[in-house]
Amino acid sequence: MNSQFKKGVLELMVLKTVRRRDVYGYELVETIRQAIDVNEGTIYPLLKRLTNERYFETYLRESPEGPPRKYYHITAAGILQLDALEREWDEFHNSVCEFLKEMNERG
Amino acid sequence: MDRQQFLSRLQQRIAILDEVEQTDIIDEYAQHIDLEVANGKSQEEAIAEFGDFDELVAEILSAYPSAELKPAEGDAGGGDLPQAAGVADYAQGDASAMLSIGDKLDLMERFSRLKDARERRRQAAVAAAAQATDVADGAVATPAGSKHPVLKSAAALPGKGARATGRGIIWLVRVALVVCLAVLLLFCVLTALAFMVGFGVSIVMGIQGYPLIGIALLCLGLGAIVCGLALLLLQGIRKTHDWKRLSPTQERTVTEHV
Repeated sequence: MNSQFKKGVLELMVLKTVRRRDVYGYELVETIRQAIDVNEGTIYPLLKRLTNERYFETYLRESPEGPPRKYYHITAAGILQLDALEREWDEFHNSVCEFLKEMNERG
Repeated sequence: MDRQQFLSRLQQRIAILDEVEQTDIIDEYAQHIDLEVANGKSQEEAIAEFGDFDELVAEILSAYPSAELKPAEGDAGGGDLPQAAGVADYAQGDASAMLSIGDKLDLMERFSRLKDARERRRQAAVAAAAQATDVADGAVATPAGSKHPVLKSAAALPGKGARATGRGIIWLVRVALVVCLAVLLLFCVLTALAFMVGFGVSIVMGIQGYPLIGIALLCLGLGAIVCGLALLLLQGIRKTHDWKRLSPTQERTVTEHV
């Protein structure tokens, strides 16, 4: 898949995943990877940016398999941002679909 | 590149960030590699999945606003750099040159210049405020936006003697107000107790057959009203007690800030 497409929707996917439940970094990467082939290097900086923008809060939780894991929890600001992004995505998706359909019918 | 090499290289490249942030990032990437290895991948494979190293560093640094840059040595503050000159600007440039010594020195120099300029502006503002206070012939300063009428009228009094008198008046008014409120509070508490006793007696007599249920309800209602009044008075006393009288030093400080 086009990497620019992926980059554009990654924030939406990350916010949506954390909205469902609190996750740690690797778990999030695995979840996203099930949907699209994504470069892990882009997800951690994105998590950091979203945390710096107060869309996420983090906390440490003990893990039986090693050191404590850093969990991400979505904030109220994060939920608002997710809602806005979802609306934008729906509009964008519908517009592109309409456009493609129209072009196919013409052509 | 194995895990150790990757992490030490990464740490070198993000050295411009605060130590806590560096540790946080390194821990996260180390944990990711460990989990990938636990899932059957080699360290090299896990690291390769992060993509191009320079792009990775640029992405990490672009997530930080300039306020989180590590300040130059000897500087106490860390947030004076303009946002526009954030790490993102560096991240957009040549990633390999991003953390060169030249860039760091330039950044520290700019930070230092901004800090000096801010200090000069602050000193000038303090001097101007002190001069304005002298010219005003010792008028009492009040906090900006103070809504207390007694403080405002005291501020209008000229001269040092008047200032002391004003402070004395404020103190007397405050003490008188507290005493009045306390007396009223005591009266309310005693009345509430009387109503409660009346309520209890009426209920007992009502059970014995006397037609006193109306009086019992009246006592209950009045008792509740008096209790509410007592709570309001208590709040009033606490607020009055919290008024802060400004000392001459504090007044001067307030003037400087205004």
